[in-house]
Amino acid sequence: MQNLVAKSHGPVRVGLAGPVGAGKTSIVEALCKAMRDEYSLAVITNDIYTKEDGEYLMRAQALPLERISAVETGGCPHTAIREDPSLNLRALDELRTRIPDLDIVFIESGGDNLTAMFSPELADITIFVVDVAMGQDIPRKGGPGITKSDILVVNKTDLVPYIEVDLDVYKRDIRLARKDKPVAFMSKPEVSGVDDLVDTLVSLM
Amino acid sequence: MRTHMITRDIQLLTNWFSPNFPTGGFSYSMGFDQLIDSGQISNVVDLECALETSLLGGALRNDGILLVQAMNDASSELAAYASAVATSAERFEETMAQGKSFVAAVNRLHALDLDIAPYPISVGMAARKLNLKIELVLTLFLQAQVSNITMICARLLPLGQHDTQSVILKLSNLIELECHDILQSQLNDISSTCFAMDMASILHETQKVRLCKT
Repeated sequence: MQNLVAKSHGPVRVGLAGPVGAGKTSIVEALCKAMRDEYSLAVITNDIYTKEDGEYLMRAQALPLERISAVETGGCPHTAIREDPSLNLRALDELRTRIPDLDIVFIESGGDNLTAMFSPELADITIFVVDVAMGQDIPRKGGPGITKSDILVVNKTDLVPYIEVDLDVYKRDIRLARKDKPVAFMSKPEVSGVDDLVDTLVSLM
Repeated sequence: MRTHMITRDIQLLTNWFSPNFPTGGFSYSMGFDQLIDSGQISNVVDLECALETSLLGGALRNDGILLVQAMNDASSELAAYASAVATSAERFEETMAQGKSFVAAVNRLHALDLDIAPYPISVGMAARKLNLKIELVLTLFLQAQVSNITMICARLLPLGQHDTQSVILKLSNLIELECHDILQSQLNDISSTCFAMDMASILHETQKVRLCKT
């Protein structure tokens, strides 16, 4: 923790990206609830043209209102976290001014595709979220999200019995794509918790 | 009067070479997708070095030479020659596909009737028809090519925006120097000493996960 904080002269910025509906917001909610007692947290949500994700987190009482900032990115969610993260960097500055003691800021991207990844100037650690129901070919399709993210989360594993996905093949293909980089399998993170993910995340800080 | 003309040239050219102009440039990586996939380019220093090499003796320099030739004397033999010296099937694909899209766009916009040709030749022919200043066309063309490759690498590596912008800024001096040299060049100055990049463009054909078309 101390290393990254010292390096970035501010909170550790954890980016969560992944396709629409993979469960990014639910994971952010669970991470906030699991970590808020120990760390000073804030969240930036990127929505395409609503503030739905930000409002969801407020209603779920994951964090107090002043610790959530919703960015509307328009039609190019990948641009706002990758080529030109100015909107997000401004939101980050505002949060840091409002809450000077921040330890961690989660930056949730607007839903996009498998190639969207964070600018290293915006996020120190990246988490990429997919779900098993997207299909067995997802790990084989690769892309920076699958291969280069610091942590890959495979969500909704409780759906495996109902869909044509072989979890063993899925795990093998992920191993081929990511070598030894961390992977977290989970289902209903807002219910069953995210303890393993929290441990992995903290170990990377 | 001359100031007015140059302003118009710059307005046209910055639009032609903007990512907003429909040539599909964002998907043609000149083999950089393979250089990143194979780990030969893994950071901003590698990227700068590769672009420098290409400007000094590879595809970027050759495209500049072809553009100048097309502005001086466009002929159908030139287009055929440019197709023949493409170092790989994908190099041929990217220069023809972008040339086709560019010609379709400028023919409609400027009421021209240009034939489809490799991209730098299409640009040269259109610029010649519209009497654009050759130094400006060449400089902004190379600048745009460097900027496009840098944007592609920013997505694939990924790179931060300061790194990408600093590469473009650093290479602008080299682009200026190269342009002086290319303006004096002849068609038989086309050559390649960028073997690794030529190979990358070939190897990209069988790359497993292809994030760019070429």
